[in-house]
Amino acid sequence: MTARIVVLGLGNTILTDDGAGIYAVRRLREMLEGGQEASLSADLSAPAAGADTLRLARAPVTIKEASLAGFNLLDLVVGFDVLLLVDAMKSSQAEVGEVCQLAPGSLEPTLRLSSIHGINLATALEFGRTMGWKMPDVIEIYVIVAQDTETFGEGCTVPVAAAVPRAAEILRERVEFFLDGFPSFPAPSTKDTSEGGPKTDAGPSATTG
Amino acid sequence: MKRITIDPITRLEGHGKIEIFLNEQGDVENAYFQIPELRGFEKFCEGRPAEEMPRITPRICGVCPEAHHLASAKALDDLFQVTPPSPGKKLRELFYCAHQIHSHIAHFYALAAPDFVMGPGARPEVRNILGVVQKVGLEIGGQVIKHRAYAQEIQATIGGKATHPVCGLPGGMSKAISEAERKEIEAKARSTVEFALFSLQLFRDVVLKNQAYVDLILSDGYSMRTYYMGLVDEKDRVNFYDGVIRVVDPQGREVLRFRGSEYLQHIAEHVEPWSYLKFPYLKKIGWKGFVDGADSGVYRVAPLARLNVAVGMATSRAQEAYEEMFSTLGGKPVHATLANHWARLVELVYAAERLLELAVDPEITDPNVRTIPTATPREGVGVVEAPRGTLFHHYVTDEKGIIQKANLIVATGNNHAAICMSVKKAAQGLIRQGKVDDGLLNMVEMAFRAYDPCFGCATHTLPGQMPMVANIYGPRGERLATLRQ
Repeated sequence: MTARIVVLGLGNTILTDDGAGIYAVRRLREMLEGGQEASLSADLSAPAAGADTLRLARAPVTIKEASLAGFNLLDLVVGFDVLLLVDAMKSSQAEVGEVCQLAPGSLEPTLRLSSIHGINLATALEFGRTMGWKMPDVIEIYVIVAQDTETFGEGCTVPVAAAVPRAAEILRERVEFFLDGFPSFPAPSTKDTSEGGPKTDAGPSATTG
Repeated sequence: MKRITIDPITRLEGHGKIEIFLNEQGDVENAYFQIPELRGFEKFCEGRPAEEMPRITPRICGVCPEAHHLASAKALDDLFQVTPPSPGKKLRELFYCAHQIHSHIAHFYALAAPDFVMGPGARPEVRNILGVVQKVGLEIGGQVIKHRAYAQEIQATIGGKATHPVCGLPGGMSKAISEAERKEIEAKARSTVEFALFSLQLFRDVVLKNQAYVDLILSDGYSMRTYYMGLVDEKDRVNFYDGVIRVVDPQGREVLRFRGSEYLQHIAEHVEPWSYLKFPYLKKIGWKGFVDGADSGVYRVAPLARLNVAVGMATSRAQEAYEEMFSTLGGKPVHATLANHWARLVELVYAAERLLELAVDPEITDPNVRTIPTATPREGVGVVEAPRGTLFHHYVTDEKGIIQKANLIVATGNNHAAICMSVKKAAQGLIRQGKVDDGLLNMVEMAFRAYDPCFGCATHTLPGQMPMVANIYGPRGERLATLRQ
């Protein structure tokens, strides 16, 4: 069975570069809908799981965007095998406009809580696992290195805007990789898994670094 | 592709930074808590149609967008001089009760419970919601998630979507609810009332039956005698959605009562060179520095403040819980910062009971949810009680309704001075003669969790948390130590 994949763009489109992750998944959607990849032709007649969701004929690739934090993130990723996440982030380890992958384990130090904002992705994922829900077996996090995420404004700075198509291309390649290379995922549950409290069989059957 | 990690330096840059300055004796002279401010909001709003504000302002924060949405919608009512019809107003309040429920459940179980269920001295690795669920059982964890989801679904039914709603318009709401939707909301509300009462009982069992916790809540280190501010209804009871703003002094006596549109007459903002974010204070009392007491204009908002300013709750079980809290903690007002956790549960009961009341109100499915505005816009103020405290939206437009000026005072802004004072208090208690107690940041964090400060940067979800670092400086400005959690 092919993997159930969710591509999640995070960020805030009114905080300059903070919207880069969202712009990247919008671009990915255009690429997939635009038929640039024939094998991934979109089946738009499929029942939509939300206005921001795209399901593809060949596999349930779901594209979501969110300006959310905390538990709400859990709702968005529960029930999927593969989570590809893209967000903007400032970094001193790479140049502005670079697209990087976050090293595995990078989220671990953020498990502590000091405010409601502290319920971050790592905590949300761990909480879901604790509750016995189907959480993604594979999580890859891509970051677009940002210049300015503190100034209100629509649209990114020049180097970050230029990075958005590159990020989308990377996401497209990863989607293909998981569609082609991971045939051993369990069958999709017939239950609707988008409402935050579902219980599906965990059954992790593939992992990757 | 290059692999990177979350950079500790950029994580800390501009985030929650505590600067503590010691005197020659090694005791605390000053303690500052710095938080970042997002830049250029007013400029961003200028030139946009006012009707866009209820959709723009929720984007400031990924945690409480619904509060911004309704404060904004109410500011538009005022701007366009239009009053929503009763069903529209009730629908907004119903929506807002669901928001409070959602926020309060998440806060109690994810942030308050870890300190008390696991214990304030528990290792950080287990002092979180994961530890709580493992200790109290998956069944309760499931109940938490279920009722949180109910609240989300109710907001989605009314608001168009669960977060970043699109229902609030000048003069009312965009659509009514159907009888089928009402029935569903009623069922969820009934279940939520039970869950709220269960949560309160859990608090009694875990916290109140442990004298050490009660002592901790009431301890001097977590206590400040400040003014309190909150919205009250026509009978001076807590109301999240509407009413007048009431302010009481540290003895609980009313000192101010004003409408949202009059806020500038009563609230001024103090500026410090080390902070982008300003410090609101009561004009009538004046700014006397980061000190508590009746002579200082510092006031607090949020659940405990709301209960302190009100004479009671508008629903029966919440009223019982209100009375129990104040009689246990020694009468009104309560100055113990950590009592916010208890107050939050009293409010959870109220929000659930009020949700049910509104869900069975015969008017709630009435399609007359909007009054179409006809007046020329000029200026409008909207106020609601966000889960974290009083929230003000203020817009000035030209005659076409194009924004000329926008000002927001958010809940955490109102509490900013008090939060800084809590930090200083913790520092004074735990740093003596240059010796820093390891528990310093832990104490600061516990106070923070009670206020649940919201820094308007919630969408920065990869760093994900407000990292805490404390720099301690000697009398000549030399850095003596840096503490991190």
